[in-house]
This record gives sequence, structure tokens and C-alpha cells, in this order.
Amino acid sequence: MDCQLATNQHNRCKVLCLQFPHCACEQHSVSSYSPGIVQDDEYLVRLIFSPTHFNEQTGKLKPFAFLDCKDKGLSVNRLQYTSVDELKQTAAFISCGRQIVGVVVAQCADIRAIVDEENQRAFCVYDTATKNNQSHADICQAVADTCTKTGKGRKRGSQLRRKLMKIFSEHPLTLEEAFSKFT
Amino acid sequence: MPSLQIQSMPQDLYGYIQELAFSQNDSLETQVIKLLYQAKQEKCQQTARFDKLIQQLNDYLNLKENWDGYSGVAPTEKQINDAIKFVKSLPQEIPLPEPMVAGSGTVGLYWESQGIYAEIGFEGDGTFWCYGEDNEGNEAGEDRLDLGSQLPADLLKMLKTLA
Repeated sequence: MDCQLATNQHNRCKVLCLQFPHCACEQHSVSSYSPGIVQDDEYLVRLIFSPTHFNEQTGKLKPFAFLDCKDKGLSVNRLQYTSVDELKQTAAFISCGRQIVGVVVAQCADIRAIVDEENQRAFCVYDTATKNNQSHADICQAVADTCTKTGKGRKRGSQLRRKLMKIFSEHPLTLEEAFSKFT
Repeated sequence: MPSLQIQSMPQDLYGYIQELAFSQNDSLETQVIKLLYQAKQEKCQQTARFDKLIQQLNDYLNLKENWDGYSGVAPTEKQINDAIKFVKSLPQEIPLPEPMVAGSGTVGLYWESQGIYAEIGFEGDGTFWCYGEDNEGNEAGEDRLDLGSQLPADLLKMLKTLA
């Protein structure tokens, strides 16, 4: 199996962790639709929907808005390869009856800098563009419960995902605010 | 209506109510009724919060496959029932958590308040995991606990400070 095939699996983060540990597939573009591998200085945005990702009472994100990085990949968009209009279209396409609240933003280098207690990279970022969503990327957890079958490491996984969540902005921004602040 | 036997209260409670009554220019009887009414209101609010949480968890049953536009998996009835069973078994002194769901169908509960964060996850296999941290860097949790097990003592201690 090569990196492209691995990132096409539904449970891509687990497959990547077991077959290509230490974020080895970050060195290669994994999609023919991609503008290139994700660079450290790029800003990544996560679309936030209510009620699944967002607590209306506190105005803060729900932590499981980030749990996808454990298995199928945490979908984000690369800010420099998209636009407000394009993200609005994507949001409408994937909303499935949910309400778009806005986006949270993080810089790729900060995500890649998170390490576990053994100084292993905890998260990898892959350029998983699709034909209709060319700025799409996935954040995959690369240690702890992603790489086990028994549930071992679930506590450590939670701790690392908590760190990941803290790197993203705490409160969602509007698409316009995100573009004006980070481009 | 039975008459209030205020004098038969424990001394410290009697003193507390006497102080409250004095500060609010009430009779002892009025103050006792006010406190009982307040307790009833709090109980009603707690029940309403509990019902809302159960409803929010049950609402996850309405999620369809691909609910997140990225091949999201709908939670199973088992995952939702595991979470509900857990909520029902929580000690009274712990505030109710908030519900959450992930694209994998995993159902979760979390608390985030006063510098404390804790989460519980249910993958539908009859077990759950838990993790908690406070703002002093203390951590607590377990990778895998059977449903029906108590939360670890260190996590319980953290959560009790939220009450």
C-alpha cells in the first residue's frame, strides 16, 4: 500500500499510523487534486456547525469537534487555497441540516509541534484534496489510541486532542473575519 | 397543612435561618417557607436540565449516515443508551455534563468549567474511557472501564469541585 491508497481508506488515520508511522506520508502529496503538500506556515480552518460541534450556551467548541483526527481524519481547509465563497459552498454541501457557526483557525506548524510524552509527533497533516474540494486537508493523530486496536491509549489520546483543540481559536470566527485576520 | 416545628431544628440550622430572617426582616416561618420554595425551584431546574440532556442524547438517534458530509457514522442505540445509563448513575454532587458526538459515531459527555476539563467517551462496546485535567496540570482518567464502574477517585474529586 502506498501513501495515496492509505489516505483513501475510511479509517485513514489508523491505517497511516500502523503502516506509515512518524508522519512519513507528509513528505508526499497524497492527492492528484492537491496544490502540494501542506507547508508549516499555512493556516488551516475547521468548519464549525451547531449543534454538533458547538455549545450555544457557552459559545465554545465541543471537544468531539476534534475527535475525527483519531480515525477518519479531521477535515480542514487550507486557507490560502480557498475563498469565503468556496468555503460557504462547502459548508452548505456538508451541513446536512446543521447550522454553520463559523470557523476555527490554526497554523500547521503549531499542530505539527505537538508531541507526546515520548517526544513523538502526535498529529500529521495530509493534503487530502478532492475534485470538488481542492483545499481539503486532514489532520490525523499519529500516536496513542489511533494506533491500537484494544482501546489502549484512549486517555492519552484525549490529552493530546485537548492540546490540539487549544491550538485552534477558542471561539469560532466568521469566514470573513478569518480571511481578514489570517491572509 | 402541618405547622412548622422550627424550634426542633438542629441548632446550627436554626441559627442560620434566624440570621437570614433578621437580615431580610422576615419572621422565622416566612424564611423557612422561602428556603423550602427555593429548594423546590432548584430541584425543578435540576430535573429540567437532566431531561434536556437525555433528550439531546436521544436526538443523536436522528443523525443519518454521512451526517457530517464526510461519511460520518450515525451513533448506535447502544452507544446512546450507554451514555444515558452513565448519566443516570452519576453521583448527585456532580453537575450534569454536556453531550457531544463525533463523526465516528462515538458519543461523549464533557464538563468544562472553573479551569477543569473532563470528558467521557462511549464507543458502544460496553466500556467507556475518561480523561480529566485541571488548571494546575493534574490529570486523571482511564483507558477503559466497564459500564457501571465508578469513575476513578481522582477524576471524581476533580468533578466534585464543580458542584
